Amino acid sequence: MSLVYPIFLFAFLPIFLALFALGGRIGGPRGALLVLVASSLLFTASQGLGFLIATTISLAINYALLMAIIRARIGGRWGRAMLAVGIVFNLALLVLAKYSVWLQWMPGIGPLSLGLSVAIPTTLSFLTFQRSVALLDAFTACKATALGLQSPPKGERPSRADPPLRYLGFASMFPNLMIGPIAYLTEILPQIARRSFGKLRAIDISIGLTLLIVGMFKKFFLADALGEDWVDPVYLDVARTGATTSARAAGALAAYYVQLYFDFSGYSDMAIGVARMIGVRLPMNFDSPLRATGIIDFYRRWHMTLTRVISRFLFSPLSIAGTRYAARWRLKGIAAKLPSLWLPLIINFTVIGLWHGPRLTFVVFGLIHGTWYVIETEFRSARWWKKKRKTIPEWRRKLAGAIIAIPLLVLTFALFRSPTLAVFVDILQSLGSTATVPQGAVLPFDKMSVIRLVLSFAIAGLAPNVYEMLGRYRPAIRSFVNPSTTPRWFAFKWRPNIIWAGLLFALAMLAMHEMATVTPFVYQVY
Amino acid sequence: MSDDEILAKLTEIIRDQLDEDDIVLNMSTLASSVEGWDSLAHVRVMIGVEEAFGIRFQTSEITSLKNVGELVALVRTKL
Repeated sequence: MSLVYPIFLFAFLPIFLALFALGGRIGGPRGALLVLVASSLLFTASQGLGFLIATTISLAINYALLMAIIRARIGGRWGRAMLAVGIVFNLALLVLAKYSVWLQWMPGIGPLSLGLSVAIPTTLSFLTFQRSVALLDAFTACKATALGLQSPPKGERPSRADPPLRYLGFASMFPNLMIGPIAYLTEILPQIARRSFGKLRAIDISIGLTLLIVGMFKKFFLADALGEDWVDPVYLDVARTGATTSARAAGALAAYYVQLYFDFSGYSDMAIGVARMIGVRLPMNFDSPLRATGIIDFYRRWHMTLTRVISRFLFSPLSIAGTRYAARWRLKGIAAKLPSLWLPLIINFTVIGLWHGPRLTFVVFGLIHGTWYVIETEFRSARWWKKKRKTIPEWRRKLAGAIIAIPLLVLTFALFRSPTLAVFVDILQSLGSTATVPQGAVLPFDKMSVIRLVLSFAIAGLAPNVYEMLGRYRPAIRSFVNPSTTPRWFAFKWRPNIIWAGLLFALAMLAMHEMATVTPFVYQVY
Repeated sequence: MSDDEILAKLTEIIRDQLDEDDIVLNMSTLASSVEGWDSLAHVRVMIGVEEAFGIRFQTSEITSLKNVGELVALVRTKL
């Protein structure tokens, strides 16, 4: 089961909400939390036995380590050792289950890895990061985490059941279990430990439902249909004949740019919406990334919860070590930049690429984005540019940035979609092709698919995102504060009234009309 | 060293590291409100602070600060 299946939307979710409210009525915050944990375990079980066993063992080990870290002396050796054990365990499980293609030659590890990857077909990537970063939270914010786990809801007596129940609530919570957003323990604990947890509020339900419907619309009405009409047939052409026409290649490139965004951000909206229905605010994952003004801006707006986790785990430690190294040897210029900034960035983005799976195209994707990030960083910090930029109006700088960044992003997204480098090269070569429709090609596009593509670009390019529309209701936790890029005339604000209800109803109908042909989320496989 | 002295010395280091002479800091200043003080520059700033004060931070300390006041307090505990 996943958030996109009708059985989830029309059976699991409403029954869960009713039981959650009942649990809250009878047992207060703890009763509601118990319902959340039980439902999450049921949701976990629906992913298959292998997944259930692996994630349950991981829960038990992570909880034991978390408690050991909290009890250890702050910042001490023992806590540090427990943290290391936890992170190694989590990453080892992920790597074994996910990269068997690259590990199978290793004696002993190969067969184990292959067995795990067969037993656990669903992704562990997101929950691995969420659980690992919780250990890091416990280590760096020891007292706050201990308090969050143990302090009873106001007016109630402490209970020994609180810490395990709250940890399970956080680590197995079904809305963001499969594809994120990756939340921090310190963000979720205060929310599930509060007195009012377990009481459904009308405003939370309205906001949650709004997010859910917008997400469904993006996923079903835009992303899936764009993929079917514009992207998949063209990749099929290339798989069959090694080429396609220039118009079809260009169409596929453009369409995939919006498809990937609407697919993944649509899912994130749905996850954030479901959590909001029970009053839990998850971190925001997308902030209108397709109109980024550069690669730095892009990563502050695209899959924000992954950006912040990777930079905390990987970039910062690497960069700190490199900067210290450069300081110790009194390195200057490029010799200092290389260990302190350039290498950490390139490694950081290569790992982000690889995180999506064991494919060469992902590695190249990471290398290109890493190099691009280095170039942009150096450009922005160059002394002559700092002087020059003050003489250029902001809107012109931003426009120029977007004109450079967007085509490059479109191209690297295509790399992301291509199963092999050869296919990617074929698509690029087809751009310059003079051929008409190749033999065996699927039918050309109809009028509706053109309208849909134009609509998608209009929404991605001009419309406010759902978090801007819901702004005053604080729909999600913001990890990066980005300036809004929505033109003033389009900056609509959501209100809990009949007009918005009607509009959302229409979006829901359109989404459900397309739902008959559900395709799994693009990100489900990562 | 008093907190004010630490703050004054920090301001000097940060102006130097970020190459901006008109930066003014107080205890509640957030890195995000200072031009050029992004997560990349943060590492450089913190290692600069280590060098200038002759102290050493843990990685987790570098990445978990909330504002300049916390940085001042952290430096004070290390002196």
